[in-house]
Amino acid sequence: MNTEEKKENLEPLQEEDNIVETNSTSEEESNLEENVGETKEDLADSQEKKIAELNDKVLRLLAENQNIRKNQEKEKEDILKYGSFNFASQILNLTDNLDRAFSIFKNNEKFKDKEFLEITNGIELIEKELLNTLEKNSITYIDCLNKKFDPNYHQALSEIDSEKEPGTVVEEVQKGYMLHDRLLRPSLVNVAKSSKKEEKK
Amino acid sequence: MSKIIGIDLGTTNSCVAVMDGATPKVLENLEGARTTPSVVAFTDSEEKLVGTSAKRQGVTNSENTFFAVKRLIGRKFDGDAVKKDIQGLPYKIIKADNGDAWVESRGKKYSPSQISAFVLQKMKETAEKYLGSEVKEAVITVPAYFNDSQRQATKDAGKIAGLEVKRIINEPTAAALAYGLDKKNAKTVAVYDLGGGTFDVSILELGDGVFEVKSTNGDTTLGGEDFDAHIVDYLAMNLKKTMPLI
Repeated sequence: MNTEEKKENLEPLQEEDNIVETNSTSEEESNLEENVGETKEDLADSQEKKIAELNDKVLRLLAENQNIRKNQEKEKEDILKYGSFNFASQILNLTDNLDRAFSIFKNNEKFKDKEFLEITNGIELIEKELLNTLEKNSITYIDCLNKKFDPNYHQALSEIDSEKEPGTVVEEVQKGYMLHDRLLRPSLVNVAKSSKKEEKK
Repeated sequence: MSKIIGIDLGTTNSCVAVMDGATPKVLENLEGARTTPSVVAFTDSEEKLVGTSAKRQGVTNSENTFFAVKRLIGRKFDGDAVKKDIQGLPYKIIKADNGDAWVESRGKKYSPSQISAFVLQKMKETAEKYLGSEVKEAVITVPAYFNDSQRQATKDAGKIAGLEVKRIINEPTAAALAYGLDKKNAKTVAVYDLGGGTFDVSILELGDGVFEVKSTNGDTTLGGEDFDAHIVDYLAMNLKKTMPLI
């Protein structure tokens, strides 16, 4: 009881005597409070910032992940579609030579006799079957003779004099093929000399 | 977020790659090839061709098919190097107003930077197709012996192609880095670069994690194309011997 009374006595005393002090204390206190307030705000701020950063990072990584998956799918598709590219190129070397051998055989007078008819028929069947097999594997022949020279499908070996319109494919030196929509190998061709050069003559 | 691409803008062929995580990945162009010929052509019908298609019609359009433009980039028309090259190149090389070596086709004039920009554009498109997003930044390599003018002209080519060129790096340095030599305690490294049209040798020294080019040499007119030509000549010679009627 005494202490309480004393306290009551003390407090007003304190207030009176220490008005300035109290004020400054409250200033200090309010400063402190502000400081504590700032620090609390700062902490909340920096935490928010960090959360935002981490969120951003997560989103980016997720997006990259998706991209990687998309790319892998596309690569798989491409491998299935164009995976036979190298094999197809090598097979075409064989078909080239078979073509040459067959045409020599077919054009040779010696083999026009009846006794060779079976062989000639057989050869024609094989040629058809060859073309069919290629097509079944999405390897298609590029028809280039007498067409306009197109560097996306043809490769010009030389320019030659010709009555045909300049820029036309006049000779096919080697057959060109597509694998699906991709060029497997270009047609090797000779092109009719272009108009500018005709004028120069 | 756009990825930065790395481009090897070569004399004969160019190549583009991106970092796939921690591994570099060389990208295939639309035709499925990992390198694209550094060739640009302007056809009769005012069409612009870049890469393999440009190369395929070179024979029929030699005056308007630009290749090996790297030999001219950043160089003066009156310089020794260009004078020598003019003799071997079938297209028209002219002197620009500022004295630089430019090229001309069907009445239009182009700087080597512009021609190279067409190639860089194609490499940019290749990367964009793979990444599915726009590419804005690139790193381009140049020969170690390229001077400031040539390096700046290469940077300009990138800018024209719509790329911010973050760095121009020396080709042998890039090669050394690709093989991780900076992490393998290598001290002195010799890099042999036998390309399509040039043969470059560089001696690099690794110090403080940085490669310094100590010296360069080589043959600027020796490359794979010359080997091809010799093989063709050899075959033709032998064919003539065995089949004299040809």
